[in-house]
Amino acid sequence: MNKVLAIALITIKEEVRNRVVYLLLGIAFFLLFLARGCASGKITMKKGILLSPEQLMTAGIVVTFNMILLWGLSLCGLLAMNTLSRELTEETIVLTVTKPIKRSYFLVGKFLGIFSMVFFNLMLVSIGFFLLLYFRSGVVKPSIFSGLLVASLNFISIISFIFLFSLFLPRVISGLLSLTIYILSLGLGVIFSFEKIRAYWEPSFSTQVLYYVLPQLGRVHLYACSLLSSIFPSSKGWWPVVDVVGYSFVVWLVMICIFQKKSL
Amino acid sequence: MAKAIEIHRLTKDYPHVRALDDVNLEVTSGECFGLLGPNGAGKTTMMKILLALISPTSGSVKIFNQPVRKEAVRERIGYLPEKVRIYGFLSGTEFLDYQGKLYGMNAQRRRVRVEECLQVVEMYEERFRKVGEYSKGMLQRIGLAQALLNQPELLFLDEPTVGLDPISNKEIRDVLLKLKEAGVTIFINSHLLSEVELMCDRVAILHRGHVVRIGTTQELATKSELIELRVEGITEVILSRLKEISHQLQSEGNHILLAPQNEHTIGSIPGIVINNGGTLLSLTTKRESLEDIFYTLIKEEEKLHE
Repeated sequence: MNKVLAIALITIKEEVRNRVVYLLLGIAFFLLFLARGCASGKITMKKGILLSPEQLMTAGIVVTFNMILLWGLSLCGLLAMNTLSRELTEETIVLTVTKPIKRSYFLVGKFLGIFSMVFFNLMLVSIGFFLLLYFRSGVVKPSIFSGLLVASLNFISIISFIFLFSLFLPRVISGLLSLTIYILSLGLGVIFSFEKIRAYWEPSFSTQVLYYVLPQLGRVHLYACSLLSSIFPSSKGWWPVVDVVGYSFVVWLVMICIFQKKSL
Repeated sequence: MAKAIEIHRLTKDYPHVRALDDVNLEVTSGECFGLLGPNGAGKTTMMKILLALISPTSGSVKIFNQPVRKEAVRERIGYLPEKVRIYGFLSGTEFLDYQGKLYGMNAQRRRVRVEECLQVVEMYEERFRKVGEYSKGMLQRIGLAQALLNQPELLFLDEPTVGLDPISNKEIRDVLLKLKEAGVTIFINSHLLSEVELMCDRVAILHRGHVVRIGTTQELATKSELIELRVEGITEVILSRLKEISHQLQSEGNHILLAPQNEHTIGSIPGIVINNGGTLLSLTTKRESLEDIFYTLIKEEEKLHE
């Protein structure tokens, strides 16, 4: 375990020096600053739009939370797609795997390092959002954090996908492919979760197959949102969570099998 | 003597080339073994298989009588790659401490070993500098320090002194000679023949994935011994008699250069010259350097392939 933690710590130290993290963090706080109007329900509405200040604030919370999740997703992609690829292309991995350590431990260490960085940054932004809500409107919304915890499962899954693809694909493609899976799953999740959308558009058979074949990242995303607002459905309970956990487990099994045999 | 490395019928195929072809090799504990070969001979492939970085196509490789992938094996070995790639943001001490953690050392042992190794490679003064600021020589030294952290019984060195200035070169070689004296088994992959000649007890010459010659440096040199004669009054009879006892013979003026069939034939040379009317002015033996042997062997092999 100490060896895994050592690798995780080195990964964190490496990413702490990554300027992209600070750039993204700066953008996130800037957007939060701009969202201060939503948080207080004090945006001037156009005539004819019937939204109460409470509804407006709920919409603001939901939009901001989703922005935080998508921002976290970008951070995940940028950090995860570089870390393993960099180890492989710059060959820094060689001095690690020639030590008495299982190759799978290396992957776990790298994963823990990246996930810790993403989670820490998400927590920072979420705390910022929580404080903004509290100071602007007096609303205390601890469900931001429970929603974040549920959504973390998606980040775990996406980092795992990027790691797996990084073993045999160029880093940018690995990142884009994984993010595409997420966006597709989210889009399908929205379609299949909201009855009102399906009233206008009935998904084809192939769309349904795609929905069930892809990991239920979109449904987990919506489930996390449902903890903040009742406009999101959570009727199907925990099955998307189980699906994503199962998917991540399989991804890890495949990844470890490939990595054990990978020529370095 | 116990075997440190046993390679049996090792073959490695890449999509378009066979890098190693049915290689057999044994390295005894405590010896310094050199693997020589031109670029593309299969040296790096062999080293990577020994370090479990790649898998062989067929054959077996054992270190200390165990498969190379076992963690127990890697606890007993150290490895210095040709190009030491390290996270540049760490200081020398931080890097070695991290490597110590990967060896499973506790904090106290790490502290002691990191200091000892830094002193051995003469990097103690530079221990707080970032690795990214190190010169090539410093990187090689810190790389050697990490290879020594666990007090290895077997040390793999991939071109340990390539690209170093003569002073760093000598200092690293001195460290390695001390390790050799201390009984550490050393496996050097190099094309710096003088380095191998100075350090290694035995040498294998690898060419196109085959071991073309293996033996002690003395054995290889003896097989390639040459005798140079200065003779006055060289006759056809002298030359034909000398040819009978030589592999090769060249004559020019009063100089004759011959490669004797075996070491016992040297004693008969003065008799052949004198009994056939010649005057022997001088007889000197010349041993070919490892470089000469290597060059001759590789050229012969290439001719065979043509």
